[in-house]
Amino acid sequence: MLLMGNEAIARGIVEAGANIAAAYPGNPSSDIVDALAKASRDLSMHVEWSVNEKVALEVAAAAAMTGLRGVAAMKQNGLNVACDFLLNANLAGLRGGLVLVVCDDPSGISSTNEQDTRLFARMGELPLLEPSNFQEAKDMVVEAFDLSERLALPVILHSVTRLSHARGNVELGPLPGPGPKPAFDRSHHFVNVPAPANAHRRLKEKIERCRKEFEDSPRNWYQGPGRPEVMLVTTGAGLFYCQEGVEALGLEDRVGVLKVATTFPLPERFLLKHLAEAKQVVVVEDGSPFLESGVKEFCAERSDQLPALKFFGKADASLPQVGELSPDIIMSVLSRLLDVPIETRPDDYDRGIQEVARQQVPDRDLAFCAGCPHRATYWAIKEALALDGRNGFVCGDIGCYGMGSGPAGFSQMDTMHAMGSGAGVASGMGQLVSMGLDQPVVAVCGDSTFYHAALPALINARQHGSNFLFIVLDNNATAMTGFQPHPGLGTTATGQPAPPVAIEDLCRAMGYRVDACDPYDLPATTHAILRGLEQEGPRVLILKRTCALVAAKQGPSATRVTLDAERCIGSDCGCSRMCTSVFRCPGLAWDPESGTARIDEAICTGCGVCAQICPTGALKVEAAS
Amino acid sequence: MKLANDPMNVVISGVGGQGNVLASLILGRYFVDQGMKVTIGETYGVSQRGGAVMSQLRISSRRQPAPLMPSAKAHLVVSLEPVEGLRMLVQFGNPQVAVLTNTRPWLPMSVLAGEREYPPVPGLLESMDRFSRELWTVNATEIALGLGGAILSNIVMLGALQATSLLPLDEEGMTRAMAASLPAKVLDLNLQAFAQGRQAAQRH
Amino acid sequence: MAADSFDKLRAEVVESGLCTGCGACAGLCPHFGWYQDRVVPLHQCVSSSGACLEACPRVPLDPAALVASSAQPEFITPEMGPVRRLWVTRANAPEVRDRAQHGGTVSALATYALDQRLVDAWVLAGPDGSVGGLPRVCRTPAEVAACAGTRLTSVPMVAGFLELAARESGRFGVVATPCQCLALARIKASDNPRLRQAADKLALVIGLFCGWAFDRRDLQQALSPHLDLAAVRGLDIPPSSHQSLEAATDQGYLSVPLDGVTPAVRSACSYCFDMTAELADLSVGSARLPQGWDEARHWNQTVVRSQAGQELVDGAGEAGVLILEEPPDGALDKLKAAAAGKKRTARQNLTELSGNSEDLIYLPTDFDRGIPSPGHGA
Repeated sequence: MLLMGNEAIARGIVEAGANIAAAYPGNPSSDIVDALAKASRDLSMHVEWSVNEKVALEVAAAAAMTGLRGVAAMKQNGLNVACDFLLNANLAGLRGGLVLVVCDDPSGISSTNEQDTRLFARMGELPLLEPSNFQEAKDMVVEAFDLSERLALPVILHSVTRLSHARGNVELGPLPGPGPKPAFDRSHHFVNVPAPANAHRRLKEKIERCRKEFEDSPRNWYQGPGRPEVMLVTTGAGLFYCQEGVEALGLEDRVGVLKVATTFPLPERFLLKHLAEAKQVVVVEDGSPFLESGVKEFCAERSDQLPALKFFGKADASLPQVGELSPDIIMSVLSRLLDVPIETRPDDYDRGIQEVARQQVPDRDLAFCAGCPHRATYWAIKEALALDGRNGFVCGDIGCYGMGSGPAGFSQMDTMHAMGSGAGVASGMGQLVSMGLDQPVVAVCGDSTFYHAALPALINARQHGSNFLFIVLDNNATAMTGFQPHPGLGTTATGQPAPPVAIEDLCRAMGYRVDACDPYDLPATTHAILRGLEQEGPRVLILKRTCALVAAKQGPSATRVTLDAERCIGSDCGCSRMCTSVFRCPGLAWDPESGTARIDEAICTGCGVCAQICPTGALKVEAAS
Repeated sequence: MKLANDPMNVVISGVGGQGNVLASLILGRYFVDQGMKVTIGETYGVSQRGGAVMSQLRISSRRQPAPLMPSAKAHLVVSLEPVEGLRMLVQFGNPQVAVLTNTRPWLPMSVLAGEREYPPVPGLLESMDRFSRELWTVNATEIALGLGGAILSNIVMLGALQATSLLPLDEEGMTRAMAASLPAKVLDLNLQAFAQGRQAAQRH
Repeated sequence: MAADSFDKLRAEVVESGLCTGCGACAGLCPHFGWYQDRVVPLHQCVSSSGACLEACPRVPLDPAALVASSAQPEFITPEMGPVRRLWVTRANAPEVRDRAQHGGTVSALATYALDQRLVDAWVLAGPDGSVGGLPRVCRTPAEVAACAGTRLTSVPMVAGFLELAARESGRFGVVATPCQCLALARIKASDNPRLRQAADKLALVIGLFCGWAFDRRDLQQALSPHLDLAAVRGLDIPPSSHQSLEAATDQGYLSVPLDGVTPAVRSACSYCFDMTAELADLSVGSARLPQGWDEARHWNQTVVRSQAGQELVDGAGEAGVLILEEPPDGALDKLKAAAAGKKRTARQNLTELSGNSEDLIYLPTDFDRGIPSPGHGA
């Protein structure tokens, strides 16, 4: 059947009989637990959206410490959060199976960074598996659990966007029978002290055993002629592009593909056997030259057993050092090395279509959805900071509201790093007042991000008397990643009721003065922010309004917006197209023929925020009939 | 099943919210059902935010295709929006490509804001015609609105696609693929949309 | 120089420190906004012929021409514009005087004008709960009374008037500082249809004498070590010999040394040429009497400038609402000298700002034509 890579991974988790699956949403990994949550009714598995990735990994590890199977899934940034636990669990070992699924996002298509998490495998000395297609994505999950149990070690299964978020053929395997009952054996402590080095020694022994297992893995293979002119050494999604490139250039007789799925620890006998046949080696992998440096290191150690090899890859920039791989990249490097032409489209076609692109293909800017409370919030922040007049600035982080850094949010977000970093950076900025920083400091944070990582920063700011205004953009949703529940929503991943953990209560408990406002009420919000900018001491403004996409699912809007075209003065002085040109909601369009705004009723949610910026009262909110 | 090209490279493009992903999923399921290897690569992240979205549907009888196709190697572009069809030809077009496009524009923010004009549709079609082997058009949005909602445009497009014979699609298989991809209560409406789309495809 | 009105106002008025905070632009256009005593460009506007430029009192303009266009030539003085009559005045009703900062002249005139239906409402600067003020629409004597007292910071009265005029029809009066009177006079003189609509509703302008205003935030900072700001009922600057700022509180007058608060003066005020609100229908200020400040603080001096102003003052006098007394000998000359002094200071400061004595930024080089120079003539 046709499955998304992440769905295949989820199916593998089910086929492996995992008992706990935990994750924090983040693309390209979110669909794994989304799929498990949907199927949870039929599973005897605990599935949860955890508060953050470190907790997710800890929750999953609990299963593996009681003889069961646990899995945690996350995106690359998530592993940064979870790695502290991971780099202790590697030494402490397990009694069951623990698989960490991490999905990297080469090119940062839906991320704030581009990083290669495979380096954590080397840092933590943990087995690393890299599936190359949809079938492997499923099958290798099962193999990862088996390996984890045999070695009593966490195993990392690594994917990338083009595997996780693409769909392909998968043959399903059988579902497992009932598993063992959990039991914690107190004779087996998961404690690395007092001599972590001893635990480290045991880890070294395990990883050597793992290397031996990998020597015979059927996931590693070579395809191509004996003594190829070029050997492509690849892993993960790189295999797709290698096969595509060889086939497209008709190089099946000249180029071989060495596919390595077990990229840490490297299978040395396997490599030795195949590299002995090679002359020119191109290492093809998304991310950093991880496999490349491992292979090179190995070749340097075994130089007496290998011919002189010429390496090409990311280290020497034969392949681009940033951004994701593509078939074009592989075709281009093969074309260079073997002097074969790449068939391109005719020059006149190319020139012509480029000219057409310039004239007839306008860009599509990203915008907040019609009715998005974030648009109203950033409008109010923009006006309040300008009216305050002290050049205040905004520290933010990650979520839909991250688009506040661009035109969608009137470019009001000035810093964006990790989850919760808005609060942390502001906590520091707020200390600089005593050193002469005379600009107001604002931090913004979404509701899900608040629980994930803003809490420690807020506690820190409270303890040290940091002076900033903290604004929670509470839209009752983890909207960016697909509406997964968070601790404030009163529900779990599997739809069970849960006691909501209120942001307001947490802030009060930390000693913050809490103000709340509906961002749809622009004047009230602007004044609440202005007031907050002038106050000193710990203060939080909660801007509460449900995500427009969630609200649309809950039922039709109680209000609608109408346009009195007689009162609309369009581009005349006194308005100058305030709503379409400055506010820019996709529900409003400039109509050049009538010289007025026009409401697109199919898109407009009736939120009425535009009516508050309309200077002539032409836009009106009324009760929906 | 014998494909005119193997792998067959299909680009399905549109604007976030037009149901691009569902259209590619239905086609993908159809071909998997026919015993093909199918890979669908997608642009995610902007799907709900008015950005340009695109799926690459690749079909092969031999091996699992890569989720990205090489530049300028599309055999077929199916576009839910005229500018998006043309945008795809810039990246993936070649003199042999066939195009099926919806004729109803979805205005980008810069046009809504009155900063630039949407290029006139006849000119867009002319350009698509000039840079393709054959161009087919359908006013999918209008048909969909007639059936009760613009959301059906993607299914109207699939019906039109079957009529073009640009892909070997049979009705029975497509009905199965739709049944596997849509909630039962809206299946009939979607089948109607499919049928009307099939009547409405026009060779440009 | 930017081509668009918005960019021009932002660069040449707001960012160069000339903005008076009158709020004329913000009252006309949503791309500008006001808060407390600040008027701020908020959103880029692309209009190249904005009404904002026609109302702003700090873009290149000719005040003498504005005076000449509205006043009879025989009343025009070079130092302080049209002067029909100078009075020493105060409200007859003691309770009005008690609430007022000085003689209660403005409160008495405003109330009288409402009673007589000369205006439907006044736009007055009311208290804002701290050291600043807010424009308030007053339709009753009680609402007028609630606005009694002097504001020492700029209050965006022109924005307040324009917002009222955009909302409602009627005839309105405004009590305004000299810079605000200039903006209102520009609105009255303009043939821009948007400004005409507002001008047709502007029935009376009472001007206030003004030396300078404080920047609200700076004043707050300067005062907070000396005073509980929440207890302040009014602020006043007595004659310069006192060198102090007086705060009226429930417990009586508290005095703060002026040295501590003068750095809080709004920078734009140093470029102002008008002390007596030359473009108003009548202007009111504190009195200077031979009996000294303790007596003078209960009086005003009032300059009658226009026909409408004269009718209002005479009417209020005849109705017994306002007590009119002859000014002390030489009072007008003293006022003229002080007003001429402000014009000299403005010339100096503008020259310094432009770096060129032939460039007075927003004023023509001969804006003070006709005033005898102090070193050489009279």
